[in-house]
Amino acid sequence: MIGILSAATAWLGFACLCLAMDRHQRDILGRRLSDSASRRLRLTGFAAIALGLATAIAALGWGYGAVLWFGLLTLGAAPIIALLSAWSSRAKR
Amino acid sequence: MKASLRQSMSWLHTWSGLLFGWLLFTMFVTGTAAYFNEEITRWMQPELKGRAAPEQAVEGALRYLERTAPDAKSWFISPPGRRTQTTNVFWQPADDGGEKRRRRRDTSAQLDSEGSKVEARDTRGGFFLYRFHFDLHYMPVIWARYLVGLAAMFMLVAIVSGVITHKKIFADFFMLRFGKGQRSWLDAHNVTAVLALPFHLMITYTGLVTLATLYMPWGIAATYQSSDSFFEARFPSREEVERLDRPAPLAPIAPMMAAARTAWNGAPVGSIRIANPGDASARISLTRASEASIASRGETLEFNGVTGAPITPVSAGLGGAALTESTMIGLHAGRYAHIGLRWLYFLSGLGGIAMVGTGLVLWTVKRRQKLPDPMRPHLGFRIVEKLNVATVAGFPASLAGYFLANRLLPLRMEGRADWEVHAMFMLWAAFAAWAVLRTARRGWIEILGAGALLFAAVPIVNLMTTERGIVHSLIHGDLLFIGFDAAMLICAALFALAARKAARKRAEPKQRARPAPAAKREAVA
Amino acid sequence: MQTHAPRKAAPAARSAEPPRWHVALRLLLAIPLGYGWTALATASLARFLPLPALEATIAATLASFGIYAALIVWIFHAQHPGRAALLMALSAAAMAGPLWISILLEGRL
Repeated sequence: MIGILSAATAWLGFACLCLAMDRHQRDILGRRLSDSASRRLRLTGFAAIALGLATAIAALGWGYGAVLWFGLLTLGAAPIIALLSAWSSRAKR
Repeated sequence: MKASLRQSMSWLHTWSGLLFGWLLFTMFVTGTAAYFNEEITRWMQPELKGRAAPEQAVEGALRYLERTAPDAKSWFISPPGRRTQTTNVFWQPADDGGEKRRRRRDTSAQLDSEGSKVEARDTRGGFFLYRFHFDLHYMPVIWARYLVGLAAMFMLVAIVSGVITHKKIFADFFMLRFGKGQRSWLDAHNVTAVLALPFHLMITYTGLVTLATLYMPWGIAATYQSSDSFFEARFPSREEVERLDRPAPLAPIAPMMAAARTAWNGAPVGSIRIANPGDASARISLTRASEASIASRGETLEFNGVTGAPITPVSAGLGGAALTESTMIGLHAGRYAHIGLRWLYFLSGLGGIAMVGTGLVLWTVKRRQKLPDPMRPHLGFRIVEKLNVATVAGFPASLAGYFLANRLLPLRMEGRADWEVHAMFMLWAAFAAWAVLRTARRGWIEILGAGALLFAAVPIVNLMTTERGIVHSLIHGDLLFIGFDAAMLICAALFALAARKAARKRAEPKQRARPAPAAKREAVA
Repeated sequence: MQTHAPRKAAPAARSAEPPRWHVALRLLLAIPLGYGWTALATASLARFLPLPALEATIAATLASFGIYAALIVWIFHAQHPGRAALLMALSAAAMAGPLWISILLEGRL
């Protein structure tokens, strides 16, 4: 259960970090966001990822929680990469 | 200066990665599979069903040992745990000096909960994959371990130099562009590397640590007169108890196991050692299961074997460095991981397989464009290309052969367990020969295709040769067998997909004959 | 996308390829000699870290692979392999002396 929550925050976090990057804003939104919007997205992204770590550690202890969090980061980022890859190849077409 | 750093690191990354890439690939494949070694073993012994409470199983095992080896020096019992269903026992015979080279098989047994030898097919199961990961096969174990350690050291250097080379590693974090030739291979290599970078670093470093005293014994040599005195300090053990030659029955073991559970906050007993069984001097030591905490070295409790009274421990806990070592080894083996984390380990391992595989392919993709005549590459290029086909496509495909051999070899065959392994390597050798005979392109397509068929055949053969086919396991909710069949089908699908991709690439070399300027620049980066 | 990369690489490429033996020397330094250097460093750490002997030995052994990896990376990064060889030889001597004296005087456990 905690795993799902922590994976969701990782996913959300990476989605924000991805949207905070110029290159991906062009791919996904078709325009650039303002610098302050990008900065807010980046902050939110890091905050979400940190929240996932905090949750995992609070629920499962330092060792197990931290290891699980690393694994979930991988799991959370993978679908973003897949989505983005599909998105940009469709956009190019 | 900056550019030259990246150039030198790029050189280092390319060659350190290539030299041991093939060995690392097989290590990643077997190591990743070995995260499910117990489950694989259970699949490979479909005769065994159900499981027993550990106390009951241990009592059964004691009855077996009393019948079979009453005067042994010591007995070892591994009760069934979270992921296993049989009890494994082995014993040290009293007349150890007489026959030096006794086969392990004669002094060990796999038991059911009643303490009878199990009636199951002879197989090395998932344990073989686990051992291949660091002992390889068909060669002395010590050579294999040095070779594997060298490969791991190259891997560590390749990771560090790879991160330095690809300075945009985090800016390119989300970049995976398909259908762009070399750029796509580079993307895939980066993504699989960065996505699981903490895992790759951890697994490589902790892998070296698991055999550190073999690879780097010089710290010990500088401080201790012999490695024995180091190990005595590291793992203090009580003096061996003298046999009194006065028969006495063993105290009941269930209360000791209960006491141990309480002492370890509910963690189960992982193994039991009984010294001088049946004698008045008997000692029983219980070691905590490694699944109970990350640190791999389980705590041990000792009991007087006749009275059942606890004996105060000799060592007072681990120091910081020793605990770090124990934790690193535990992190590598992942025995502590519950099912969710175990799957994450497995997925990260797949990332590692993909990273090494794409890296190996990338070496050829980058160089093909620069060849004077792409249709007739030089010998070194051809060797790398063929080794890639034989290893990246052939080795995982031959794993399907291992599983198929488990189902297809005659049940009562002499040396059956060994022949399962031989079958796998014979299949791999056949793939390698095929890769040599065919052009690289045909080799990729055909071996990947064969792998898809072989993996798809596993659930079908399982359905035909056992009573635990997919229909049965779906009806009875046999998650292990459903999961295994599903995993085989997913492997088959991935192989088929890869074969199709390779087949589509066939028309491309003409386009690629003229190197694009962008590709040239990336080759430097 | 990476237009800046070749610009930076250009000066290095123009100032003549380094001779072949540079790579050979770097390999020699990194693989056998680097291992020996790391062994010396590990032995020194095991003896001189201000920890109980067992802890110091384990800590040094754990750190050794990181030391070796960093050393290899440094050897391949060093501008001239001869300079790397010199520095390695000097530091090895600086470690071997005290180590030898310490073992001679205090012995081993």
